[in-house]
Amino acid sequence: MKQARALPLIAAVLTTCTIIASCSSDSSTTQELTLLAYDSFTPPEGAFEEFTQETGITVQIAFSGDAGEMVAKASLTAGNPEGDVIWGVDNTLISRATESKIFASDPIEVDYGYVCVNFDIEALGQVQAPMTLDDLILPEYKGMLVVENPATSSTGLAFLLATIAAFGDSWPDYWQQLVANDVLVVDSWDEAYYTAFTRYGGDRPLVVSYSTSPPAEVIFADPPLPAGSPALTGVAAGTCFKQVEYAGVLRGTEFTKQAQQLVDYLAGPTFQALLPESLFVYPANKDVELPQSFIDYAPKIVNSFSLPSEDIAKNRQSWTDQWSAIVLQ
Amino acid sequence: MVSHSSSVIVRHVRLLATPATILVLVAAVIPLVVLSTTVVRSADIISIWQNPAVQKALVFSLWQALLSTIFTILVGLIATWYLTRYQFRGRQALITLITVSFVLPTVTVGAAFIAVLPSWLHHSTFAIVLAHLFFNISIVVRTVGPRWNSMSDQLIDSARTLGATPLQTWRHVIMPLGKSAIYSSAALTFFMCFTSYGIVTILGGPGLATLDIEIYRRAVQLGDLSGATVLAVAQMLFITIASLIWSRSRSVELMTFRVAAVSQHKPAVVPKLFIGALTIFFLAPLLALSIASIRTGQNWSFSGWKVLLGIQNQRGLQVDIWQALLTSGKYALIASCIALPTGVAATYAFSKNGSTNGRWSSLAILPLSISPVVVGLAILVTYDFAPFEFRSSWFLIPIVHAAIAMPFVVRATLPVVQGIPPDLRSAAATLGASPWRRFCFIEIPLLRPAITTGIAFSMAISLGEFGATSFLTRRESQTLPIVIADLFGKAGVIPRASGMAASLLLVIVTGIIVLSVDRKPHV
Repeated sequence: MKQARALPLIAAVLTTCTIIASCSSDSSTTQELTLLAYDSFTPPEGAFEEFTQETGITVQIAFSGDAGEMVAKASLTAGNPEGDVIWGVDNTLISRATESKIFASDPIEVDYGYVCVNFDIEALGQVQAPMTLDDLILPEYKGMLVVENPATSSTGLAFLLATIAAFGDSWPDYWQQLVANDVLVVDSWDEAYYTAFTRYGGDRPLVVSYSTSPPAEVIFADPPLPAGSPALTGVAAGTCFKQVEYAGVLRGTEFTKQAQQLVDYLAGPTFQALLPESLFVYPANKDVELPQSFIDYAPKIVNSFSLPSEDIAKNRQSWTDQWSAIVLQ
Repeated sequence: MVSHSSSVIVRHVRLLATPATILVLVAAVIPLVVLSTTVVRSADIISIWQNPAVQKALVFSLWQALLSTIFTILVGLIATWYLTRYQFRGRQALITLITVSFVLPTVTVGAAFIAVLPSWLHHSTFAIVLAHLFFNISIVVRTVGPRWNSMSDQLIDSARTLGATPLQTWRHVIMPLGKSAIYSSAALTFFMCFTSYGIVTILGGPGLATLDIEIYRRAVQLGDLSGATVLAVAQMLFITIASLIWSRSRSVELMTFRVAAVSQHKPAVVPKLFIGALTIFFLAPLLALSIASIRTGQNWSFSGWKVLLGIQNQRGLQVDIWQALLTSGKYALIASCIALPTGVAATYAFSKNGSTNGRWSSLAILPLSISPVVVGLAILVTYDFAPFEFRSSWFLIPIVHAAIAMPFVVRATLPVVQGIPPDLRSAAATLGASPWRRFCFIEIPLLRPAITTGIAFSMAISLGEFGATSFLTRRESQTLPIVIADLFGKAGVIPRASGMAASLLLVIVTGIIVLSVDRKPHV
């Protein structure tokens, strides 16, 4: 009985391999463009149907890791790119990307969002929610805030940049006060949000996240919330750093014209309308109406912090090193 | 007659290392050389080591790896002893549990540990050491176990009858029998911990970094490819040379799924307590995952599972778990198709008529020693011209998985190949069997358990692999570990519960694969 076990198993494995290998090679007759994107780029199914109908071109998404990894790879292959168009280079990375000459022409803005302090409404209870960066160092918020490490997390980097934009050269003093107010630092957004945040069993009612996290919380509530329900989490509107994402034609593509058409489609109304409730960002296209979830639950950010992309690229290492020296001694 | 009796396989033995060599060259060494010549500035070769962050990472890598190895070996030896000496209910289940842990994705285990550990332990070296124990104890159990299996009760009893104290028995009988297996598993555990990435980022917290993490930070966050490459090459050389020296006089030891109990003793109180604690230690993270997958905020609900399995539609969430399972399964199959024959062929090359070539076989560890990020970048700059334009082809992923899995195939088969008595081959040859017939009807049946172990190991490793996969460009659907990471990237109770459910699904799929070869204990 035992004798019979391994050989059929090996045979089955080998046969399956052959079948898979022979099935995977298909010859395409229509033209295909490759869109490089970060892993969390998940537009709904059929997002490119209209583009294919209009132009006869199909779009293949090539996932390239997170945004930082994608830019590192695109920089290394500048001039001989892995795809025709790139989606999602944000303003903390764009100057490194343009310096490495990855684009054939100037990239355009396709979406934006804000990194802000979020609060758990239920956990705060009677305590007034913080609104500004200055609030966060008040004694009533002692031991309440969790932030991400800017050396390992793009969310953490954005929050550090907000404090640098707000306080200029005295930002180290601000961080010293945050440390004195018992700020917790973790390495990634998902650890901050899903482990340290009170809503998911942690002990920190304030977390650095996005201004669009509250609508996401409502959309992903279980059981679904009835219309008009109060929000579960809120945003400290005076703590926000603006993140802008760009898309552009990659230098070295054979199909510059078609690639430009795809970039135009990405910035056009059909595609842009899909962004809020799939990527949880704001469409760059001003003609696109926001979905009800954004209108009801994402606060309008009137004043946000930002920094020139060149400054970020130039100082990123020294800022994060300096930050580590203050916060992680 | 003698020259005739050495089979074709044995005569062309060195040629058999070719597929494995090609795999390692193509998937790792050539790209690394190309990358080095493209990006490394010669000044960095020296100056990078003066960087305080690099020095800190190097010291921490060594320190935590040493600590983790000592701890893993200690606990692992006690566990192996009880698992081989006592018969108790759930023994086989515990062994399966330990094995599944070895191939779980670090993201999942890290999250589970965070859920289980009290918060004051979240960011500590102790948490890292515990998680490394969780991952690597199976190396010890499955390497030392087979050795102690071959030791009968009578042997120990006679030592005792002859007046040896328990300590003397341990020192002079039990230890020598397991010695080379213990050395072998210690070396592998050390290298696995030294290059640890996911566990240290999740459990170490900010400020604690291994060399692998520092390499990643340089390559991706700081854009310092030159420095990252220097460090990656140095790490590869260090591990290869260290394992060459370590294994000079020692053989690579068997790693098998089958660990039998040689006696029917029922455990006494102390072993019972230990076994109980061990079971809790391995079950707790999985229990935490299961609970989290059916928790949505304050409620108990299966919505996470329903959304994951496509039973319930969720606005704003795109998960195609079936496609991901199919893709993961396909990669796992192809990876094991590549890793198995290359690994087995290499095994024959390493073992000459029963004698070990321990030194060369230790080179099989090489693919495990290279930072996945650097391999990913290196592949990008290497295979970018016709006819080698396949830097973003899907099949690179299973090839890289195969390179990572191959060392384990070698470990599973080498000692078995060495154990085939040369007389058996000669006898068959004398009776007129052709070399091919001898291979098919003598060697394959003898190798069968090792081959199934190799298949299961390589499939499981491929299924759980995250680091290299996420860095290689993927045009098809995502693999299971990447779907998990994506789900944990969205804010809300449904994505979180679905992410936990997907992690558990990965545990279950891996468990089924391991169980399917573990089913019948083989003594």
